[in-house]
Amino acid sequence: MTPDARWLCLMLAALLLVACKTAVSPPTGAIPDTRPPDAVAPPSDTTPDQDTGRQREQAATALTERGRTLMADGQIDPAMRLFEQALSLAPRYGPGYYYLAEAWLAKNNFSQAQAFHHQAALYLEDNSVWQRRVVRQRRRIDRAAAAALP
Amino acid sequence: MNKRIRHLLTLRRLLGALTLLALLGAVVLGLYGRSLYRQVEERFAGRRWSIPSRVYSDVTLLYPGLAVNRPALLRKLHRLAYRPVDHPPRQKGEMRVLGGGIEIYLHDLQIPDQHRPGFPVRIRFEKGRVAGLTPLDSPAKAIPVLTLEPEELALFFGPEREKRRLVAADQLPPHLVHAVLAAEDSRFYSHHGLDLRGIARAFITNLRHLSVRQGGSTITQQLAKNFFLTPERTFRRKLKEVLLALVIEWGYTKDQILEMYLNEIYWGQNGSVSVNGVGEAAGFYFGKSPEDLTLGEAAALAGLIKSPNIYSPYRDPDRCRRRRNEVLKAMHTNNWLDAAVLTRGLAEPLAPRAPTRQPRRTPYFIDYLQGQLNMLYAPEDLASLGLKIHTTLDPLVQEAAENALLSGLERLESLHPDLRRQTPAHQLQGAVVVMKPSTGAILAMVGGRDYRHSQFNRISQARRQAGSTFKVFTYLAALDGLTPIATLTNAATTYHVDGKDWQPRNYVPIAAPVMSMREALARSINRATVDLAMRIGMDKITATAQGFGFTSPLAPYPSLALGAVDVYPLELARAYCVFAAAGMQPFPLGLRAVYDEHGKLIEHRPMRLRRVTAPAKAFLITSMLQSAVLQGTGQALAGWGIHFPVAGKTGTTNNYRDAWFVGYTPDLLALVWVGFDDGGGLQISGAQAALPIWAEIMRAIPHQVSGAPFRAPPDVVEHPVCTRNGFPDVTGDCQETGIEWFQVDNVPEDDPVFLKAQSSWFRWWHRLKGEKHDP
Repeated sequence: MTPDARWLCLMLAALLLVACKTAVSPPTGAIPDTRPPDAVAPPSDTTPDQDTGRQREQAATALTERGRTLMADGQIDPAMRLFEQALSLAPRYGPGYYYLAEAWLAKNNFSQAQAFHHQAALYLEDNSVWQRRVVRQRRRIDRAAAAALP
Repeated sequence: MNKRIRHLLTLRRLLGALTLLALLGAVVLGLYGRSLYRQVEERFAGRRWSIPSRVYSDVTLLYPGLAVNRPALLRKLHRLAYRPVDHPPRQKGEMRVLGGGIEIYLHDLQIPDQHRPGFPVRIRFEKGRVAGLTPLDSPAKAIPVLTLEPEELALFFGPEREKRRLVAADQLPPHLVHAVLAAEDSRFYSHHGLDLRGIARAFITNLRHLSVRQGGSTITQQLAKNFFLTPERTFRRKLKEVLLALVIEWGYTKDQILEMYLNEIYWGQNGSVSVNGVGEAAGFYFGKSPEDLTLGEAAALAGLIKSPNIYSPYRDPDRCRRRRNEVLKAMHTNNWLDAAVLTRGLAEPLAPRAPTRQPRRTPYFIDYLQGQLNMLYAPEDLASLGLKIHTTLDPLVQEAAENALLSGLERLESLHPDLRRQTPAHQLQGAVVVMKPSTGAILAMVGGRDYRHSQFNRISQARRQAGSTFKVFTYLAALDGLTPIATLTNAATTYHVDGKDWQPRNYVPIAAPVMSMREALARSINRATVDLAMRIGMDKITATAQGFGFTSPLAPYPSLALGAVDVYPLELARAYCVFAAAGMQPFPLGLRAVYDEHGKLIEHRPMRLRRVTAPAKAFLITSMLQSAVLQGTGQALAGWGIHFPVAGKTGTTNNYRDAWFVGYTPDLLALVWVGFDDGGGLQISGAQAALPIWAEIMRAIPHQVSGAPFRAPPDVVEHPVCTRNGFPDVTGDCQETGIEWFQVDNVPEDDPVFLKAQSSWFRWWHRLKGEKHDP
């Protein structure tokens, strides 16, 4: 194999590795056969398998939008309920955490605002548009918390 | 003459006395009437009824892509009073089950803060998932997320055990009002509390039949009787009833009286609970709100008032139909129905909803909830204020957890007959809690095998030894400096504890002299865990575990690393949530909100988070616990049909007294405990006793399990390492290679042995990454 071809292979392999970076794949090994007794039938006709996270996120987005409308009307508690519903569907749905941080900020509970903000920052890390908003949110929480100090 | 004068005088005196007596009587009656009016005013001005508080489950969200257990969903729809029909649903509460979906005419969603009128919708299924949600009248419009109303779980009754749902007069449709008037008091709007014509008619009818066939009581009299009088049949009581009726008519409008009457009267029996008022009756018999009742249903309800148990559609449908038809005809006689409508009403089939019992559902959860509510409200307020208590419980998950626990315990007893006990008080027990790790919501709680035999909640009240499930806190504490490839010894070592020698033993003989941290946790190796604990220090482990909010005292002995500590299962479940939720610990939520009877929010329990550990460390623990499920003590999970990403830990305590499995996905966490209350030994492990129950629960609730993978936070990176049998190889003999996760600031320098073992391909990759570890 020529050095150029080797480099090409190498680049492709590196790209593949980088693309797979976020998926968890712990070391694997052979799984011994430990099947349970056959007498136990499956309890349902479906078993959970890989969901399309996109559809969950779409549902979470719809709930979050409704929550935002309520929050704009000053209905903080009902809005929080909808953001929580969004998170119960999609636990890594960053905007849900972001708006819950906003809701806690509106309630002047800065420690909870910070806790939800941290989760928002974690889950929105890959989104540059959201990152800017998250940074601004951080500043607002810090300012509000500082202003509330005696 | 004198005699005549004397007579006149006597007559005058008599008249005077009579007049005086009449005046006196009038005064007495006036005073008595005034006293009665005060009594009435006081009774009606205050709280008229004790309304039991109702406990509701969480709402169910349906959306395209959601995996569904169809039989369980249909059972839920039945509990929500949806009636199967064989035509497209035309009324609220009807549903048609088709091969590829369900058409439902939704009830109004009337939960506080969310009001949505009912509408017909089609739910389409494909391959066990919701494929689409569309309104029946505009199929081109997709619904992104559909909310099904919450289920009623329980009521907090007062001693009278009455169910009642208040309705305002303006909510009642005219045909319902006319039906009630036709059945009970057709001249209600034209008399003043007493209907002399009605009394005369009843008297003649009864005389003709020489028995009590007809009552002459007006609606106002019935109201007076229900509110102020005992059921005894005496002249004195009847007189008081008449006076009270007059007084009520004097002080209140007809509409007010009718509203009170319709909310007050007895309408039947649901088990030990009485159904009172038209709002409750409409729901109980027809699964509807009063405003949605059809003419026939309204007439049937009105017909029931006379004798709810005799005319009950469940007890004698024919008699109920005949009585309904009498009411319809009476409505026609009173010109409230024309002939055509009467004909339609008579032809209407009598279709009550399937009879529902008032079961004690989710009793352990309700007890747990009541414990929290008792801190907010006095028991008498809970029984009378008509509060609406919304919880986090998912009835589908609860049903799955109850079924799986029961069948799991029975299976164990059949496979291991020595686990059988003769008396229910001593039989094998188990407990389950299912939570959303991201929000802390408790979706299911089963505190024991059978609530009828034991009300002790083993999730929230029992303290059981945690065993190996507690090991994670030692490994978490170690991640401050060590990595999953750190080498631990499995050698038999004696430790001096409190002046005594102590030598930890493994559950099964393990030949390997050394192993990685990942392997030691995944295979739950005691000696290696104590070795790790000694290296990092017990104080650090104790502090780490205390950070998770355990209320049990944690003594810094080496055995703590192996789980020699009693914990509440709920606290243990909550602690494991941290690993699934990127290091944040949610507050466990059972109670979500309390609303007063007018729908005003009076208590809100939103989700709350607390940072316990860094996302990177939480992820590393999760990754190691995934190994436990794939290659370690939890690997039987695959045999039970679980093929989506799961992290979990088994636990087995001294003498096999407790069997645990705590497993989680990014969406859901469930803890299962199995054991005897008296501490008897099971002689089987957590993997054998608790894990199958966990698996059965998960398989029954596809709607809660997305199958999504765990994702690494940005400060965790992969790095190639030597492996053996799927675990990091720490023997120095690098035969295979794999990857391991590291915190970005703790990536190890590559071992020369590792690099020597790498193919040239691997070394090139390293060169490309700029690393300089050439062998």
